Amino acid sequence: MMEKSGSRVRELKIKELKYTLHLFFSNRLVVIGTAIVLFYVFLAVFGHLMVDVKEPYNLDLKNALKPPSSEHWFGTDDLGRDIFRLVILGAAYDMAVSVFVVAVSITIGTVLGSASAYLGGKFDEVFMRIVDILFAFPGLLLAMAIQMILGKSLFNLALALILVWWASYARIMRGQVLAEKEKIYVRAAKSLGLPGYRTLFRHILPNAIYPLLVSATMDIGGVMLSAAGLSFIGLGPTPFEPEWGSLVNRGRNFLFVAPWLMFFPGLMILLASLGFNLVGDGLRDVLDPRLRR
Amino acid sequence: MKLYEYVIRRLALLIFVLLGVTLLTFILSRVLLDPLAAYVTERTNPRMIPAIKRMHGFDRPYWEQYFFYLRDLFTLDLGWSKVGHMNMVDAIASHFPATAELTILAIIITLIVGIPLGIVSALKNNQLADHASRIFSLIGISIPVFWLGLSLQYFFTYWIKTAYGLPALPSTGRYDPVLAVNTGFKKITGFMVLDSLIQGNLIMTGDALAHLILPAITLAFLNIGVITRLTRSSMLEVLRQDYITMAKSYGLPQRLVIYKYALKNALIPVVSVTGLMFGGLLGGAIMTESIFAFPGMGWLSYRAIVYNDSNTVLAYVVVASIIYVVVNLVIDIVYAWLDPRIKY
Repeated sequence: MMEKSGSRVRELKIKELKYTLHLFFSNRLVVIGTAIVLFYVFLAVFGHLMVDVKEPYNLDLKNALKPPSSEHWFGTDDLGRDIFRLVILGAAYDMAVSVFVVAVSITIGTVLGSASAYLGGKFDEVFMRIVDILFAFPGLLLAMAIQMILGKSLFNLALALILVWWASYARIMRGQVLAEKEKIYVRAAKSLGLPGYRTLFRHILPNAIYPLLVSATMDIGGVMLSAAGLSFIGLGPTPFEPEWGSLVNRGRNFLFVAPWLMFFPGLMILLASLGFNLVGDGLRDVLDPRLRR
Repeated sequence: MKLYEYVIRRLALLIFVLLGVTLLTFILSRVLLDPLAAYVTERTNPRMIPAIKRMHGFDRPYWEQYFFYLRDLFTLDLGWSKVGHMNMVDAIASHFPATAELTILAIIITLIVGIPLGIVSALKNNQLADHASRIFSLIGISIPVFWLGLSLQYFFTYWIKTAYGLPALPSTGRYDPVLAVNTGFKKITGFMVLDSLIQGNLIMTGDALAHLILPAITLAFLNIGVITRLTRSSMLEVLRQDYITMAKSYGLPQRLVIYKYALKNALIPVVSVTGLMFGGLLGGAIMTESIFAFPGMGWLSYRAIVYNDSNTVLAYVVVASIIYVVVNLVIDIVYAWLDPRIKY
């Protein structure tokens, strides 16, 4: 009997999942978004096999600032490097930084935010004030200051962004857990005598984490914009790490002479973040029961 | 809780948050970065350095320095701005109007374009107009600011002139100083548009607006997406409510139902987000301002960080945070006033 009802539940769950997937992929924009994201993942993982990894060191001053042609699809930069190849190599940097920042921030935010909501009281009050302070502080400037202190590198750029981003996840998660905490199943778990951390992490979290996942997908795009922005300002990668923002920064000096220098790397950022936003949009439509049509 | 109790509680929290912000900035700029950099140049005699340190109190223990720093904040004695080449209060006072002008224009453009797009999108739900405006707003939130700024700069200050001989927009700065001299322009409030209008100097008004338009469009473009999406979703939600169905079933004209009854409620969240946007932008748009070399708060802070001018960073962060926090408080109060359902 127990087994039977278990398999019935599983059946229903699979049906539900199928329906969700059907909804997800019936939206044409979401399909386009998914395709874009997969394309970028492919570039990030296999980019270094498609083009020479030594390209950033491939100086060819005779062919500097050449416009796009059949030989150099996206033209060449001021050092004669092929921009098409640099842009492909850059995918790994931008994707890695964005995914890393979002993953770490979400972990910190989830743990601290839910713990704060669950424990409540003084801890919650103090914790939320710290989050408030971080919100009031100009984020870009904080990230800049941290890079000035730790030194300029891609890793420090990621650290700086994590410090700025985790707070928003903590806030969302806290709200979610606060709402979830009052439900009957939590009281049931408590009356069964389960330890607090187990109730929180095994029972409350799985129910509370959906909105966080949606905003995480969209945030990968947003983090990519911030990371590229910081390295555009000149904080972050070295000239031999072809991160897209730093390529745009390089192109800035030749804006009126060779606009392709800044155009193509920027276009790559735009497309990538558009892809993540499309997917996130679709996820929200599918997961939010109120928007489910 | 009554409204005034709520306000008092919020004010108390505000003080706490601002103290936290000052502490954080203090640690960043005085402890972790070197505050001496603002007062030392390559021509400074190394033997003078201990005296300079003593003069500004950098040789004291940190907790003492923090209290002196708080005292200086209250007496508006914020020291020397290395990148502003003037007293800090003057530097902020002269850069703030530029940012304020830019912010106001950007918000106006955002609302004029964003709200109608959102309404159209909600009314034509899942039709071509809806899809077009959704894609447009998605591009808006996906576009890198600096890339948009540079592209606009390229097309409107260079390309339209070289390719079509059309008059180009100025690429950098806030006004043409030569034009200002020739037309006898004088600064009064620091707001270029306002000052030139007061003096009846329409040439300068045009010049100031021409300098403002590209950075304003850049900033607006990013926010239009946010406003459009918000207007759309909140309009959709309101249109589904019973009172709208009732208004329709009474046979009230469609226009009246949408623009009088639905829009009023749908715009409440838009008001609060616009306020937040306003607060954020007033603190200075670091990237946009630095691309267009627009001498506002963002430009000042950008250079302060790059040139390790901790004094200016400190002052800037405190000013930007105060603006943000105060605007936030005002929004919450306005929100409660607009929507009587909200409880504290």
